[in-house]
Amino acid sequence: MDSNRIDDLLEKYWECETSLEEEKELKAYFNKTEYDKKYAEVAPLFRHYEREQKIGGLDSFFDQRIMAEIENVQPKVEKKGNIIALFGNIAKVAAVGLILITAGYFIKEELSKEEMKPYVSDTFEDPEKAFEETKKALQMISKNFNKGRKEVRKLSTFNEAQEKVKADNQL
Amino acid sequence: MNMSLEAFKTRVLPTKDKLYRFAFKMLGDQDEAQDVVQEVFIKVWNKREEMDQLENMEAWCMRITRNLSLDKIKSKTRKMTDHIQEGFDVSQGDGLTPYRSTEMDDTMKNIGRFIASLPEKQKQIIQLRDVEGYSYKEIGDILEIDMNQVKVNLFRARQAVKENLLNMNAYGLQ
Repeated sequence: MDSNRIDDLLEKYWECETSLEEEKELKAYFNKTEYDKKYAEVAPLFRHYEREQKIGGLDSFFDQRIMAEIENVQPKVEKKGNIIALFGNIAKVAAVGLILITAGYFIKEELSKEEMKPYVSDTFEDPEKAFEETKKALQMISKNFNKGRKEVRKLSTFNEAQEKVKADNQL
Repeated sequence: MNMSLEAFKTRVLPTKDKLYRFAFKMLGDQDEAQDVVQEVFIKVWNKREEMDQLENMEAWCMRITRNLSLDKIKSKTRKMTDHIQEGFDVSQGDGLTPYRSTEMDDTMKNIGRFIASLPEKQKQIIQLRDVEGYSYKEIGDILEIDMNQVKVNLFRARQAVKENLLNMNAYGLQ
């Protein structure tokens, strides 16, 4: 690679003006077996970064453990979640139903009370109507009273007859 | 849509080394770093319904890794010690002659030690940018700071590293 290019990139690198791509370019250059010896001071830095990036430490055993752990966690959590959610939904529907039924009952109760009121305690607002009704009621009473008197008159005829018979016997 | 087991395997699991390196850099302990990564993955799985809404899942994973590592550090109020830093340098040189390999190794070890001694934020930004190759925006998301902060800290870190390289050179480590 052109050493002017590397000089430029290095200068930009120290000023933090290089892009990620340019930094990769630098890393790649200094990690080649052959690089310009005038960069002997800086080369170890980029080799150090490259080596740091290769440090692993988590082997496939780690992967297996993670996957096993996750697979164990999965069904339990989902099942539990579903059942809880199902119960939750049923409970919500039931609660709303209960509220509606209770409310309906009380509303019905209240309405029927109001319907009964006029028969129990209503009075006529128009005095003429009240007068007519009272008259009607009184007429009904007098009519029935007269009916009763007729019957009583029959009784008195019977009584007269009885007394006549008594008197005849005494004679 | 839910993340399937297969998607988890292909999209999430491959980030394990990045997460592990980041946690290891912060904690300096292999087992603890591994525990953190495991915790992150289980978190991802439990939140898989929300994962598809994330703009950048990997950055999210890194952020959780950082937060869990910080929690661990806080709970132990521990300090990084020297032997931990040496733990970073166990890998082998690649294809150089024994003599040059040793020399190169020493320099690289020194660089590693120097970076490990930088302030926490600068050290993390070096790890995320120069080692892992994240964009400024991603680093901002991971560390929960704005992009200017990222740039300022990276600039300071690179300047410090540059100065250190020149000093090493001047005092005869070459």
